[in-house]
Amino acid sequence: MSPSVPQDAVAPSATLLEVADLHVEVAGKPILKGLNLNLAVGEVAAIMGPNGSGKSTLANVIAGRPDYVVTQGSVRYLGTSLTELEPEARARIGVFLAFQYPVEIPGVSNMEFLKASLDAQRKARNEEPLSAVEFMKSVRSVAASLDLNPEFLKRGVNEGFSGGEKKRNEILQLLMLQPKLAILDETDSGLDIDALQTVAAGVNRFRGAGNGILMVTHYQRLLDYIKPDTVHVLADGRIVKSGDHSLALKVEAQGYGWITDAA
Amino acid sequence: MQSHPFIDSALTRSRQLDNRLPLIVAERRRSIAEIAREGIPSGKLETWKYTPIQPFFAAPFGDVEPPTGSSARTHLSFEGAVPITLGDKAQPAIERAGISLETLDSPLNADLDLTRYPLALLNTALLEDGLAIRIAPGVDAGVLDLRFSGGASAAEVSRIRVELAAGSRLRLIEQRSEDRPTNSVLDIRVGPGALLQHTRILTPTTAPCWYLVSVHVGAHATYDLTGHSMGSTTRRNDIHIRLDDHHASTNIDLACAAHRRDRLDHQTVIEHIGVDTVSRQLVHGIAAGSSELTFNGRIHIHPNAQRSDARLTNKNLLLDKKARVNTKPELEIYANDVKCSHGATVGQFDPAQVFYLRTRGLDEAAARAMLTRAFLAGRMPPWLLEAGVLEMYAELFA
Repeated sequence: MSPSVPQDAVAPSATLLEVADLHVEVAGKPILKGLNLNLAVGEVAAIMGPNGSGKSTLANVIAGRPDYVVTQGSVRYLGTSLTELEPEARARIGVFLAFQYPVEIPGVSNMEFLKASLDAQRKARNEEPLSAVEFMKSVRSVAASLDLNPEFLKRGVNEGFSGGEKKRNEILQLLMLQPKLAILDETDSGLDIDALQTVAAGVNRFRGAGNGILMVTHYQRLLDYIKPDTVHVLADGRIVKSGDHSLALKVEAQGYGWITDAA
Repeated sequence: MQSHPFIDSALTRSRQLDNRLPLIVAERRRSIAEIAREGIPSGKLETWKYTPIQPFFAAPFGDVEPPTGSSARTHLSFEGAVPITLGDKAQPAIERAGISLETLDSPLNADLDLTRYPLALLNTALLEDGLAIRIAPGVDAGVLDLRFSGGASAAEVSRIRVELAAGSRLRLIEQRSEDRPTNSVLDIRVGPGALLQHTRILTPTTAPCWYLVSVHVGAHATYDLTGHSMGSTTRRNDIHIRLDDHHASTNIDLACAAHRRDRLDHQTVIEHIGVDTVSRQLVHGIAAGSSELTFNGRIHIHPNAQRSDARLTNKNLLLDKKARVNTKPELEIYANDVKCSHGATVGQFDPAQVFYLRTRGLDEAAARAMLTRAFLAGRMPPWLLEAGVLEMYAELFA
């Protein structure tokens, strides 16, 4: 825990995330081209946009993906600049990315991975590691709430998991790690309606006055289950339109053309 | 006959050993005479391209004290296993009927390919200790835990003969922690319908060590080997498996890890001789520091070995810029109806995996350590993990 970020005493309506004039290159190609975005503590914002607009790049760059290069602008989290921090340092002060494509890590059990992650984060906050018993109790209860069989915890991280299991596993981590800022990168993709409801229920359980959620999605469908406070449309590396939930409904009905043409 | 300081000392040493294994004196004499006649190999041999053979002939067998500070490492414990410590005169009596432990007898080398493995001749000439383990027909012999330790009584030159009669079964665990120049042969015969599951754990050593596992597998018999080889200054593991008769099969699963300036060299030769024989080889290597891993996997399918099915996979993880991996499959196929595949990869950590772990709060070193473990643990059976093999590797990378 960085001393400059007071984790426990965040006033609602304070700014959680402030992205200003952000330019990002991936493999030398500009993807984000002057993106501005604010997220308040307690806010849930949806980021929508056509393919290739830069939604996933935004999600990954906030989490600190090393090969995504910030060439201009800033990303501030509770007043701290994130761009110079290593990914693990960001995680330890409360930034979490639920991956669009969670990687498989055969040979590391889900349980071992979760415990190591939680221990690393608690250590950074000068907290004692959870005892094995406390940890097991907690993880079993969270897994059950996501309809995940306890056997699943013994398997390799995401190894041989179905698309839906991988996404539920991301939400399991979200609920166990309890970050301040959760970025959900297309968490709804590849989910059937039952799995979508389970995942949404998990996210809604997480949602609270002390944290914020940035939801990257293609489809408005997810927003029926996780009601956003704000909706932003991203096109060609910039936020081109912001509004409330009705903006998402309009996008679904009319597509992106009317926004991107106007932009 | 060539004169060479090593051969002269080996002659002397050979004579001193006559009273240790009296039944093989004649064979000893013939072997030392042959070494003297052939001389010590000079120059580069193709099969010893990356690991020169000469240091294995130069090692001062028999008259070295264990290096100071090195002590016998603790062996892992396996549930239900009967420990047998080589060099220990007070062997525990094996209670189970159908298992016999006997003194080595001539002929020693009937089943070995001495042309391919000239160091087996040296093994015969300088043999200090050995044992023959015989399992009677149809007997399930359970688990034997064969231990070689670095204690003063341990042999540097040893030989174990294992014979499984028809329809018998044995799980053989071989644990080695000797830290001295070593020349060791395991000479195995798996009779028709028998099953040998062999697990070997080789802990780090600082002296040149040569090991040969030579196996003959009979009809419908299976020889399985799970091997773990941990960083050593110079270690050469030769594995020679002959699938002699129809439906013989073998599964080889090797893991090795090297660091600092280690040299680990694994060479397998699988001969498909009978029809419908099956071999599987999976070799995982990790090279850190300035170490060098070598794997040469040779599959030889003889003219009559129709419907042979052979697969070989070698995966390597390079942890540092100066680490090196040499990998080479060799296929020699003389039958026309066979399935044979091989593949090798040499790579570094998957950056996507490292990033994933880091976004959960693990620093880069912890992420790499976890992935290193995963590379080794991915295929280990639970009983081996529970025994603590991974922790032995962890010491290597600590």
